[in-house]
Amino acid sequence: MDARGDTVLQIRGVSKSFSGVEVLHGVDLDLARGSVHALVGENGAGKSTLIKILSGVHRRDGGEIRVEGRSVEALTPRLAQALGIVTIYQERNLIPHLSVGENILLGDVPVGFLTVVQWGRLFDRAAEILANLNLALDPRQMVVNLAPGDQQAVEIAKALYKKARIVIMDEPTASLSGAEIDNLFRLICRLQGEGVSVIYISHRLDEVYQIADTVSVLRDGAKILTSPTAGMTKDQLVKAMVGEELAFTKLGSFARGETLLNVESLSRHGAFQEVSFALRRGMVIGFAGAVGSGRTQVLRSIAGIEPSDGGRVLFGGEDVSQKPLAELIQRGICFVPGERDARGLILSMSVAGNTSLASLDAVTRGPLMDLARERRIAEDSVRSLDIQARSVLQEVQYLSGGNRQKVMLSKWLCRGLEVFLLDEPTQGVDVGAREEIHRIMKKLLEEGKGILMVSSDLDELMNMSHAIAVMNRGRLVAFLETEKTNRQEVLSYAIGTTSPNPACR
Amino acid sequence: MPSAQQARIPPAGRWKGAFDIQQWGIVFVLIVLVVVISIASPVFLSPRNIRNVLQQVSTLGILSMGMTVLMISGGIDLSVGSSISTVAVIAGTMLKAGLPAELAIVTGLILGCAIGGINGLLAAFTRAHPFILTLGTMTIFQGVAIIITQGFPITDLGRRFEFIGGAMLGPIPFIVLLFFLVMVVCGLLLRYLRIGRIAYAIGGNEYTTYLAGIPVKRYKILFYVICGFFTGLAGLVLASRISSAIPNMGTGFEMNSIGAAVIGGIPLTGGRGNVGGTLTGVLLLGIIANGLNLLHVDASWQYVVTGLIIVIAVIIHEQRLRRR
Repeated sequence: MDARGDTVLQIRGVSKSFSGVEVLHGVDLDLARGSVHALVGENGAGKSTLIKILSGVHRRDGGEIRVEGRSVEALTPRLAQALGIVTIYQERNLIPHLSVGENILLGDVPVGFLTVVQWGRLFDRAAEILANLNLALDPRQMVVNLAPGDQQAVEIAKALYKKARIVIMDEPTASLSGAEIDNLFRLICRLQGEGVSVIYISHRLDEVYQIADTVSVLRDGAKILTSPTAGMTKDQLVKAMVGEELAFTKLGSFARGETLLNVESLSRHGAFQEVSFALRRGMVIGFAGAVGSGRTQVLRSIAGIEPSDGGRVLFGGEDVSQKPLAELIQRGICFVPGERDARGLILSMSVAGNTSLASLDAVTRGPLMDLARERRIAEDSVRSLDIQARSVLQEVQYLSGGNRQKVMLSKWLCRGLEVFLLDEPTQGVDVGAREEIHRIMKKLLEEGKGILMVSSDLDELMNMSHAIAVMNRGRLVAFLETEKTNRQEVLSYAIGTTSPNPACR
Repeated sequence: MPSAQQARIPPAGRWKGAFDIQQWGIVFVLIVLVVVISIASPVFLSPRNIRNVLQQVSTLGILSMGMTVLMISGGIDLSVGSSISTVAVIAGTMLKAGLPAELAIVTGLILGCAIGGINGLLAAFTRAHPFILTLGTMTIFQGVAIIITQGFPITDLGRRFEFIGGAMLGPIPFIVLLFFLVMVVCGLLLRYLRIGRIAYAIGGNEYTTYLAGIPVKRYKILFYVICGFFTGLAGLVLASRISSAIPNMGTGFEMNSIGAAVIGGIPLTGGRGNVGGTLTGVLLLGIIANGLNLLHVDASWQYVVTGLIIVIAVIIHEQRLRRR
């Protein structure tokens, strides 16, 4: 596999802790010259931390990093660049309102007398680099006008110009179309030809088989294995990623209630297509899939935030797919966003103010606020949800994360809704608060409500849903009964199961 | 962890009262200022001078209360100064044409609302920042005021109209009562009305408010209209007080009203503040002007001191928020 020989990058026993919790435990990794080395693992396996250590963003706590055999002590972003380590992040790192040429030569723009930019030389040099990569891009064009795939190509050209020896790509295909992905893979092969090594991080296993010659699996901050890609089946890889199947206390099977919400071939251009499922009373459907697979968009569409452009949502015997958000709340459907502090709460407002926000009709008489009644309702919900606050008049910004989460939920619990759309309901809360939120969900189910939940946490999906809907690139690829499935099956649907198709080699 | 964290929490939350001035730092500055000026100039605390100060700040006060409602909801309106001029010159033109004062007043108030409505529509339905949008409309309305008058002041608006600015109720000027009435109305609105609650909500987090099913855009327009109404009222009061309508008479009022609100503790992002804070800001600005005048300080220095007070106030508020 590795005919070009020696090792460019050696990582030995690298560890890293954040606020006392070790997230990387002595990871070893060898990167061969001219190799494309895929790094795979679940969310939170430690891939991003490892990359950030290599690009100098985080400092490692222990272990050794050798580049071209030379031990590197304190790695800073500057030093990483000097060593030829270039990271291409998901979010583009280009300056949108400068030309392609300026972006490629950034920091090394040819200047003449009185530091006047020599535009001719700049664009000539950029054109040379682009031609070398077989890229039909005009160096004078502004980056902001380029398609995502072309922007990525510019980043790669920039990396090549900077004499990169190691290029790290973090989910490079997340925002690319099929043809753009093919182009990207051609460029990667080109880099390989120049002797550049690539660390390739992706959730999509079929891509790993297409482009990588070596694959390493990370799980819970430790490296599980490294192997030539050809020597591993996809099933073996998935098994290595999820580890041992744990014994779960699953959500008990539910009494099959009447259908609450019927979603039929729901589509929204550019987000998801032909999604169908039925939610019954007392049922949780969990949505699994990679970030960007369209799971949250499905929920947002049902909630009336981003209306669908095809299909139907039947609720109470009527198609509500084109109803606005406010009317859906009146009818009994609510959306509880992830990113609690940024989107779910008014931090400068009191617990009471946040609790009553979605049911102002209940605490007003005509144009007047009934502050006493508002206070009573808030005190009831603080008691029943066990929210730790000094008083209901305390601003929510002074509460802990878990308590804030509960205040956010209380806003919806205090009006009699039927369907709850929860986006990452336990993200960023501690174990205790998480239990508490799951308890609230179970109580809702007992009352015959229905829940759709997006979660990036497989354990939560396995524990807290009756069925798991797996999304992949905007399509509902599997609808699995939780009792009859396992983490491995869910994950293999989520990361795609098309057959291997080697692009180069 | 909870105990250590909760120990720093102030005992009362935000709904304690509309006139519960949380900005004690600024109140302290105000008191110090009053003490210093009254020592330097004994005339300062005479009933006559107090009445004078209150009369002088009334126009700014009425305007700033509307600005308070708007800024709490996260909006801002730079066009209020030139709107004052526009309202005044249109009312003035009507009076000069022999139309009754009542009609000119009603027209002025409706015009104020309409101007607020235009700003509100722009702020609600474009993604541009209202600061820039109203910078644009400010210039437009200034132009309109000059076009209507061809640049000349309109003087001698008639006894009936001058009544607003000149009437006394016992020892108290009518416009001072009007200012306090406006303050009480805005204070009650913010604290006891549904619409007031929604102002705090939109300023606190517009997206969350939208997700709660509240028609955010409609309310945003409404807050601009409310601010516009009080702008119109301020324009009429000012014109009546000096019995003339001058095409640039409102210049500077936008910065002073925003300044008063900011001194009173309303952040530019909204979501916080109350009329008590703004009252403090208005009084502070008025007392600085009056005090420097009594001390025979060159009027140019007024700008320097006012600016300093705004800078100090913002630093105090910022510190207070960070400390919590």
